[in-house]
Amino acid sequence: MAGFIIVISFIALGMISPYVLTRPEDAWGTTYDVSKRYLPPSLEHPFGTDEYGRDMFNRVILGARFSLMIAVGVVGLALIIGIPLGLIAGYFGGKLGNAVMRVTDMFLAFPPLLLAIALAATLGRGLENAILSLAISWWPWYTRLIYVQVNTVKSMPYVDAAKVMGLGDLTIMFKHVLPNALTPVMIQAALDMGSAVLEAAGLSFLGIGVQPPTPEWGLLVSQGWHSINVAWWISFFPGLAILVTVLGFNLLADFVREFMDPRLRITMMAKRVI
Amino acid sequence: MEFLRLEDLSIAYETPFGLIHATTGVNFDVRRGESVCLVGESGSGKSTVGLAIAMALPPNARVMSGRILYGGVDLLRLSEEERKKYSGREVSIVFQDPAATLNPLFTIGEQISDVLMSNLGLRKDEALNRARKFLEIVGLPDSERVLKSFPHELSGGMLQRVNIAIAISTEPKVLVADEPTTMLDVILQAQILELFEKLKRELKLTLIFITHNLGVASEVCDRIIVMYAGTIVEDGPADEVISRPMHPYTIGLLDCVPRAHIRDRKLRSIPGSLPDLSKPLTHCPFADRCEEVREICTRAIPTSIDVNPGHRVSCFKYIG
Amino acid sequence: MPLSRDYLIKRLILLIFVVFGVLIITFAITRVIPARPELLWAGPHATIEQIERAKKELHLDQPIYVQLSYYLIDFIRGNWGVSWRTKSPVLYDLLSALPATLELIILAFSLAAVLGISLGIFAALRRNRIADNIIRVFSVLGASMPVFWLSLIALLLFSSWLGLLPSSKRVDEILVIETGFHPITGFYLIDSLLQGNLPVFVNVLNHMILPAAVLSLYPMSLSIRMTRAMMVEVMQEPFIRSSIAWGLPKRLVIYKYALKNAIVPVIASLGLSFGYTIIGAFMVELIFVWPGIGLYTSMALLSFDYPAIVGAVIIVALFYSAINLIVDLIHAWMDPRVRL
Repeated sequence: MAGFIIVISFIALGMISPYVLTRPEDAWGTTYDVSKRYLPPSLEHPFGTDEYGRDMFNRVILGARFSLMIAVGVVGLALIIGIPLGLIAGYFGGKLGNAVMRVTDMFLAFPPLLLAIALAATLGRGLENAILSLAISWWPWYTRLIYVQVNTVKSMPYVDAAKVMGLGDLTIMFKHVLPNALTPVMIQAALDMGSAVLEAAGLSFLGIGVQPPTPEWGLLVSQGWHSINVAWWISFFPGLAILVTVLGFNLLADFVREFMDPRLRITMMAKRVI
Repeated sequence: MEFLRLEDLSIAYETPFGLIHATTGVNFDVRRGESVCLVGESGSGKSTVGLAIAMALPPNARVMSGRILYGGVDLLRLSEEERKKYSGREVSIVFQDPAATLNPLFTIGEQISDVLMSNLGLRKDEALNRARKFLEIVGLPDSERVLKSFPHELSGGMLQRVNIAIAISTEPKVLVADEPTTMLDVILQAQILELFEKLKRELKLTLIFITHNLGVASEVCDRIIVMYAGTIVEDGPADEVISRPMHPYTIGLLDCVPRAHIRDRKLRSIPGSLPDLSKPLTHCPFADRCEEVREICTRAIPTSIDVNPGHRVSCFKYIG
Repeated sequence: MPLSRDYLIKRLILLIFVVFGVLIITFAITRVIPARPELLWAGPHATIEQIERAKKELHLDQPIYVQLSYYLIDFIRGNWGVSWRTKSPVLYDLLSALPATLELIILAFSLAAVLGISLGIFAALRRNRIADNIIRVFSVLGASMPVFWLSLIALLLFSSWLGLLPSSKRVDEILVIETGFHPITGFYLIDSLLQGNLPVFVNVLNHMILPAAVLSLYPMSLSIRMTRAMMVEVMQEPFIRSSIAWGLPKRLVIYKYALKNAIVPVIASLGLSFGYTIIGAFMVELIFVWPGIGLYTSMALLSFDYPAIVGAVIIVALFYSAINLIVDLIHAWMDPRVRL
């Protein structure tokens, strides 16, 4: 579906963009050309130029790479923190499980992005800190998700069967519980990348995310803000890029959800017998 | 005019895997006050027939052909306005899963009084009074508490009684009971069956009772219709069908019932399995499992034939 | 379906724990994680003496649990530090800015919830027809749009190019002076009505339209999508079929029975939706120069005003927790199975 195409394009663009730039110096922000300031969109500059005379098209294309880096970084890091915690809490339960889930709930008491803002303000600005801040505000969702999944899977007959056969806890955890509990979480994580792009752009817009001259989309929008009345294109196209990318992920998510529900569940149930 | 007539009923379900033919060419008449049991295994189409009569088919059901005539009206082709006059008031249904068929967010009192107010035009207090009466009839004397409860606060047995109460509270002429005891334990089952017998006697209902259990069927009904793979294979008075079964499937079914008093007898079963219902029927559906199969059975669909008055079979054994 | 007193008490106690948790986490972030918290606290242009003073204020020479105790005590006593940007106490700044934000958020969120749920039901009932498809496209776009970008575009379109709506602030100063308007509650819409000041009322509303509309788009889209999905799902449930089979008219079944079952999860998710709205407000207030907490925090972020940032984070988190409690209570009131 359309969502799938957009997402694949985004990922591809993110990966190859530094190598396909027509004006790399513009994109990376290493040049000024005052004579070319504020040029409206044209054939030569499809997205116009900004106040430093840099070609916006190139900047947006390179921006895809940073968005991809952030998306993968945030979600990946959040998974690395969140999954082991949720797995332990879910599988062993009891006091340990309770404690972990209490801490998780404490983090979830904050609205999304608020923690990231506090962290970014404390740790400092920049790409790496932005990824770290977002990941720290994100991991509780995955812990919760895995916890619920593990609890469901834990009570499945094949886990009891494994216990009766004498398999150790660790083995059961990794061979039986984890693979089954992991699937919905991984799918959710892949789809979450769109939200990560959106939230990172928000942070950059507020000034506490990526710093200039890095052409991250949110930052580009904020840079075009003060000249918006004379040069609308500087903010418009990066924002449009965010819109299209997030749209792609949302469409993909819808598609996956429809697909997952009744049909796959039947086949998945059948496969779970052993 | 017959009281209730099913004519050549063929219903299929649309699924992601294709069209599943649940019933093919089902024909039978029901007299007023009769109690008929539809008996068969899973996939026999018995539930589909029951749901069709009660106009409670799921949204993915397609009526491929046939009619259900009640007082001359085709129940399958009514407009929304007309349907409201029949469902609940003339024809009602008790479903299989008592918990799933009640809305978890509303009290029993709310749900049953809505049914009564919509169908009989009563006021709320009148409806609740009537509800209390019927809750007591089904064996729930603590009706005040039940009315104030939510479904998750009641046990399975109580919920099923509530279901029955709702279904009969409008005093319908026809009651369809779709495997009402399947989800209950044996003791409850006996109690609910007793209840049905009492209702049958006292309210003079026309009962369409659906079950997979021949024993239950023989207890509750005057007449048994055996279904297999969406067709009727045998249809006759209950005691006759049990004592002198005609169709090889019925014979096999009766044979399968474990008999505790006969020792050293292997548990019998019918080998093979249901035919693929995604393809329309072209020959006798029981052919590949039948011990007495003949050549013609694999080529044509048997028509139904009267072997005794009121007792018919669809089997080539008795044709020609 | 009344809630038991025990349940209410239980939830209130839980709220206290949540507040405690929020404070602990903010403490960890702002005092434990940084290597030199006094530098952050004193601000980027602080003198040596200001830094030393900050060290004393934060009791950094004491062990952590003592610091934490002072932190909690300071919080309760309202001693949240001083914004070096505005030179006034942070709590005072925040409370002054709060009504403006609340007015905006309440309007935006109400719009989002009411319109969102209505459109969701409308779409579900006309499933796969034209109206449904239009609504679905609208909602998926709305859920993908960065709110800051939308604000800029809307500002450009409606204010700069079409000149239809004002671009900043809550009310035109000239009008305030001319009509002698003065704030009472801080909620200008209410205040202007209380004073019978119609011109100011209209003017404030005028200023609110654009930011509120922009802010409401994301939660509205979420509501539409979820309501539609839930309605479609609930309509397949067995208890819907049974109601119809028992003779209930379709209207009753849809609008009383199906609707309630569909709405409950949507309402349960409104808390999170509200969280997104609050964060969205940060950016909307910044762009529309709406004098609320969002603007205050954004300015604090831009100028490294750490005490203000911390204070804002705490107050927003607390507010969010309170909203979640209310949403949970409503959820439990509507769904009797939840009250365990």
